[in-house]
Amino acid sequence: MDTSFLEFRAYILDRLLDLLWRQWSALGVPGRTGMEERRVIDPESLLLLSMTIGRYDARLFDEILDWLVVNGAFLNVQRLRNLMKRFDFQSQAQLAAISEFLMKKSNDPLKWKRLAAPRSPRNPEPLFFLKSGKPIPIPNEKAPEFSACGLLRGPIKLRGHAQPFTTKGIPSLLLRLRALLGVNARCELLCMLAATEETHPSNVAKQTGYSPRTVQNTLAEMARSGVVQTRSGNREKWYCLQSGILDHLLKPEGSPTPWVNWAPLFRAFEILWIGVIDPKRQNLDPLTQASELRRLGKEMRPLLADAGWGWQLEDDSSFRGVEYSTVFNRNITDILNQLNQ
Amino acid sequence: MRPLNDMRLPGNFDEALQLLNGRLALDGAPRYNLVVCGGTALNATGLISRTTKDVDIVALMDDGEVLLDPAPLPQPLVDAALVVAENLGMPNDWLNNGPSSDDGGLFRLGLPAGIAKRLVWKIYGEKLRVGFIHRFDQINFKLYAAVDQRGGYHADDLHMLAPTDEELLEAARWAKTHDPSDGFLQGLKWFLGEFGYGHIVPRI
Repeated sequence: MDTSFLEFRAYILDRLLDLLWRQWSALGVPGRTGMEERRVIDPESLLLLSMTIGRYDARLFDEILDWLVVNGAFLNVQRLRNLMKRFDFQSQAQLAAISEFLMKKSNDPLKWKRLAAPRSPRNPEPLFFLKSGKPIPIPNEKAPEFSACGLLRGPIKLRGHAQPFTTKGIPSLLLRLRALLGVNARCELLCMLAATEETHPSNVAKQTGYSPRTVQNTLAEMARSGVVQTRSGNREKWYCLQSGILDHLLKPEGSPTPWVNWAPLFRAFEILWIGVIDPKRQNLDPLTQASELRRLGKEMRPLLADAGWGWQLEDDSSFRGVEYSTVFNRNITDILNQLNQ
Repeated sequence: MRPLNDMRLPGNFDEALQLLNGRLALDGAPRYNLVVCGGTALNATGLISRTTKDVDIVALMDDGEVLLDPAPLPQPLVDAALVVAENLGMPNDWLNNGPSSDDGGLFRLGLPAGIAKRLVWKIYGEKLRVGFIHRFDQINFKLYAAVDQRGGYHADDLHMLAPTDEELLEAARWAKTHDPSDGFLQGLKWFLGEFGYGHIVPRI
């Protein structure tokens, strides 16, 4: 197998695991310390990516389970389902399995039941892999919740070290708002309003994963509080926060809330990872490999644009044949470095 | 099947066909055996070295060496060729069935007897083999095209192939089967005369 492609693959996995550990640690998962997360964390998008990438770090995967036992009440299961469907995240089986598990642990089993997927015949496969891509050996005794979803792993033994999410700081802002206002769209909407001078419902819908109608109706209701102000533009209504009222909560440092549209960004990373570990993409000649990287780039580009994050893959049409491999590797390296800064 | 894998194609076509094989493999497509004529085949077989803008498929062949109509081209092949065009900055029709695209094309009107046995093959991988037509068949096709189009670059190619009288006579007889009209016969006689082969006209 091409050594440079293996190194590229390993680099992607390391950077994505760094990102996931950092975000989960900021929400109360005990683990790595190091660079601090400073942006608002979207727990649903984070869980969706973690269920794919976390298969390559069993410790992270089980720490997340542990965290969900403590904090799962503040996850928005409907939003999780919507994001999974809208962006076509590939973690449905893993989510169904953890839902089976949380149904037994949670005070609100019905909530998690909504995520349990209908049983479909599926060839069982190992849940966990080594970073090299080899499956982790599976013991004779298996976790029934996962086996039922076609994923094989040993029994779940949680350490019980997960903490409630912190009541301070920007990363847990969304979860703190949910604790205050309930698990509903208003929490994301407040974050979005705090992130911009003013915005309109279609942009908020795109940035939060809620339907335009839900956003429009909710913003209209919130405007009646006096905390949210509205003005009519040419074709849309524009909304903003009345300054001073919620600033201490939403903008503790005085600057706009650092909101990233994580869902499309994380889906782009999921496409990238699933793309580079696809068995059919190993051992390709350089020309065909470059062609496949173009294909991955085409899938990722609109998602990176939707993330509104300012980093993008270069236009592949400017590079002929094998030239594009170098460009793609450089672009991905830059994006992952930027993300981890 | 006579393999000749060290032959070099003009321009980017070796690279394009190599990538085409890779794309077909990734797409899980069947294996295709392409029978190629025109400038690419002239270059590949070392008969003439000149620029060419496309790869002309005159027929497909199954693994039992039976020639097949290349119109329409199989969709997996078309799809893969479009990706190759995009990746290598080539025109979308770089791979085409132009010589055999319809009822008036070479395949449906009838290919020279024994063409399949004379092909020289290059294997690009498990999904793609390309058979280049022989000099004899080039002369057939070039004479027909030169008469049909009143000269042009086909006449130049034919000139460079330097056919013998017997080869040209065979080609003239085959060309007549494609167009039995008196107009074509008159055109054929005129062309041979202009081409310096007037002495074989009475033997057609």
